[in-house]
Amino acid sequence: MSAFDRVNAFFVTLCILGTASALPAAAETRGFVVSLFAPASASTEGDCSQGINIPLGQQYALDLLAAGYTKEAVDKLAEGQDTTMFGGFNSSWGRAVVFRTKINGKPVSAWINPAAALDPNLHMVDGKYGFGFNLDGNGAASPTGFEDPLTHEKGVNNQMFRAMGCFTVFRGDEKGILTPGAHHQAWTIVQNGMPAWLISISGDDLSKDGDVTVTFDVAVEHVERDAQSQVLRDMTFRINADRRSHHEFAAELKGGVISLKKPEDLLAVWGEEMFMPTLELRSMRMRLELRPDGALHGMMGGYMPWKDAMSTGLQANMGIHWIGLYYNLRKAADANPDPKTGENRDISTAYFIDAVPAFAVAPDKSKKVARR
Amino acid sequence: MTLLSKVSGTRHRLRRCLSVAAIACVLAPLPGITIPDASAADAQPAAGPAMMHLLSAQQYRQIIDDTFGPDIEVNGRFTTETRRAGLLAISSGVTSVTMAEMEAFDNLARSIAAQVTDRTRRDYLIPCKPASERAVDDACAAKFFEATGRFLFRRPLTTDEVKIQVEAAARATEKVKNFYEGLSLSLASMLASPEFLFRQEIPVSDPAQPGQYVLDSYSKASRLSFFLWNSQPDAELLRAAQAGDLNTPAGIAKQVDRMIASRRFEGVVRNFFSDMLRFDDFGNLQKDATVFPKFSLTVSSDAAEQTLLTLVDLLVTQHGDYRDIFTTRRTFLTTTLAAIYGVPLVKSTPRMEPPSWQPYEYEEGNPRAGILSHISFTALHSHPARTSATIRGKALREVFLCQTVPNPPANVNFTVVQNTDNPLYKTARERLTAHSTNPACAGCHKITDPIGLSLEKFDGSGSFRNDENGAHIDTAGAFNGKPFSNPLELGKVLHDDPGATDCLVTRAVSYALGREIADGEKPWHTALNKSFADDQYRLPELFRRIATSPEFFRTAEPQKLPVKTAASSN
Repeated sequence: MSAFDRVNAFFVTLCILGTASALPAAAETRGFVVSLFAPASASTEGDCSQGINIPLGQQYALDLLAAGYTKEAVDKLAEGQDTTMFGGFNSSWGRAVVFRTKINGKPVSAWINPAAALDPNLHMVDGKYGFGFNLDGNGAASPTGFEDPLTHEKGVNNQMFRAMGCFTVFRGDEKGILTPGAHHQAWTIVQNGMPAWLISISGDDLSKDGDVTVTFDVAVEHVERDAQSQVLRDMTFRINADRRSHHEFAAELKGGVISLKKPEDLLAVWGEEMFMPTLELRSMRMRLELRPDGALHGMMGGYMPWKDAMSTGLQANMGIHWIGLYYNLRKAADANPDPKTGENRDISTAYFIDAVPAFAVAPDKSKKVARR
Repeated sequence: MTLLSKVSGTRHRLRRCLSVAAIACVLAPLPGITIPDASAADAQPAAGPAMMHLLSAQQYRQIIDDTFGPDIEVNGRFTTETRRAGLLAISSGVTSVTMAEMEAFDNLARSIAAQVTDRTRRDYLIPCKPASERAVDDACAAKFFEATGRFLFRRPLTTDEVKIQVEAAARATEKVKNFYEGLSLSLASMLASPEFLFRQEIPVSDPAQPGQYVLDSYSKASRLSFFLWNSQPDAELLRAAQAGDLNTPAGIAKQVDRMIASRRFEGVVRNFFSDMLRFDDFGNLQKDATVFPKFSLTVSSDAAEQTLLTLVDLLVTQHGDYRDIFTTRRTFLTTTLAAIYGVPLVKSTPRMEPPSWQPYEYEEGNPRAGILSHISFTALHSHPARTSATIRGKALREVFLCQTVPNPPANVNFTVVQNTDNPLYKTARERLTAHSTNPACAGCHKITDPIGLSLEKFDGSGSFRNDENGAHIDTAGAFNGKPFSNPLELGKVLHDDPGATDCLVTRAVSYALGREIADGEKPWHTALNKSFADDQYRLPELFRRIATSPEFFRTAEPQKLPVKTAASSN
């Protein structure tokens, strides 16, 4: 086998050795750029026993009734209006929907003051299945635990799915194939302008079981697309010099699957406002599979600030009742209680992640490509 | 009839033909001139004919750019060129102009003339101001046409020609009551005239060798400028022609040195290789995105540029050996091309500006070297969804060795080679071996396939692969009895093959003359081949030797030929 053939066996792998931080002197490093990052939404038939949340316009009508409007008044506001959405600030319907909230007797925007709006008590998932990890350590005894439909592990924690899963645009499938529509739209939009997320896997021999290091970084560049509009493989990225987005974790490779040795905190991976300002996962777990075609596929889970989870839904502009979402996430949050109020600030979650091979260079050596 | 009157008559007939434009006028050799019978030649080998060439789209744009500036928009449809003897440059001398194409030229001429005379440009493109914008000013018009016409017609205008243009401008001005609109209409007629659209080469008796013919001074200037700059003669070259400098070897050498030293020479090298390497085929290149998702429109548009930058760097900037085009590891890449080649390349721009070209050198051990490994060869000479060792082998022989490989017979069954999913034949070699058991096919495939199969590790998009359908790809073969095991070794074999340099000389001479080499010019070709070797295969030296050869300006004896016109054809 020629020298190139040996290199080519690892083909298209990202080489992040030589970054400013001291990575382990691994014999092999494969690198990737994240191509998909989507909430793991294990929607199944009947998992919302009270039903899927009703269309936005219908819910707004209920909101107005709850805010004190009479049915006749609501009907009059709706007359000639597109009530499937909020309708815009120039319509009487739209203004009524937005300013249905009052503070000190004065109308204020419900969207700017969600806590002042009434909780519409939208439905949450109460089915058996949910993707994720056993974050709280309680296993099957966890009162909010799901059963993962792929691994069949019981007691996995994914309260974000519970809070969001009864919205049509957040529904996926139990095989992990369908990306919830709202996230897919938000991710697709932001990815073309968002700094790319980079992952590298380093180890002595990635064809064998053993210890590995998983590294997260953010690139200067965003991803580019191929002729099928998929993320282009084998692009070269510069690692952002901002070290706050640089994380290294000790992990184990076993049977082609990478898992963290212990729960880790992934903090402040710079993202994009429309999708999530930063990716933060506390007590993170992961299960990443090195695939024969050179790609990486798997799941990451942990606790994230529940307010960050709002971003996707807010900006996707897909008819999400976000006051309802606000309350659902807030009520479902299950970690990191505020010492003053006792209210949980973080919510358990899980994301599917896909990444394709890429090259990267160190931030302070932009002309020198790191080598395996 | 004197020679001048013959040429003048020819021009008259051309103008009539083009103005009628009701029928295709097949050109070349120059009407009124034919190739003499070789047996009639005396001691001096017979030269080829003087030619008349329709301006190519690129030449047209360059001339407008040179004459009026780069901000003039040239938006028009140009005659489709057809490659002859390996070059489009030859086809412009054997072409036809339809009525629709003449109309397109006329529209383009009006558009350009209007831009030249509009308010934003007239002050610097017209060397005088009329006494009144609403009245005729013959003096100013004459000054403009004399100054501009010598570039457009590539020679000074005759007194009659200036008079015609001035009168046309005056008549139009009187009608529209606007000097600049009148000037514009007259200028448009110049730009649509055969004297502008066609490069006409005028032979004259060679005073040094009675009975022989050479181009006149202005034809020499045009031949030089279109060969070395792909555009019209500049003021200095026209001055040299007028002064008779181009009738002496020293005068020609001085101009050739000046032109080759110019940055514009790089443009000719690009144009020459774009033509020779058939990069116009990129316009029709399609790739199946499901099979080759990396092959985007960006890749397609960058692929030719990569090779051209590589060639200009090697042959002009580095003054390198032409044969190294088959072995060089130096090239230029964009980040998108780097992705398809599977090599790392950082954007040189600090933030999010468009990616720029960067020099790149493949490391030792990388299977890529030479332009045969470029996407511009591997992908251009492949099918939309798979490779073709046969097409690549054919292209290699035709493009780089000037050989002719016949097309397959019409009744061939290609099923075996087209089905890449057949588990019996996993690789292209296996499929072609099965296909070539047909005796009718075997002969040509023996010529094309061994060299084409050596490039099989470059898939139809130019990406590298080791296997096809799980089977290892064997790239071994032989060329002219010399074995090779991979593309790198094939490149070395071609590097040392005299056929490659001989072909380059053939293409360069044909490009320079705008026609195939005449039988009588073969000794010149042989001499150029030798000097090319003596010059360590430096391309600029080859071009210099061609441009300074007496043979470059020699033509056959002009003879009268009947000119086909609409009337005579009917």
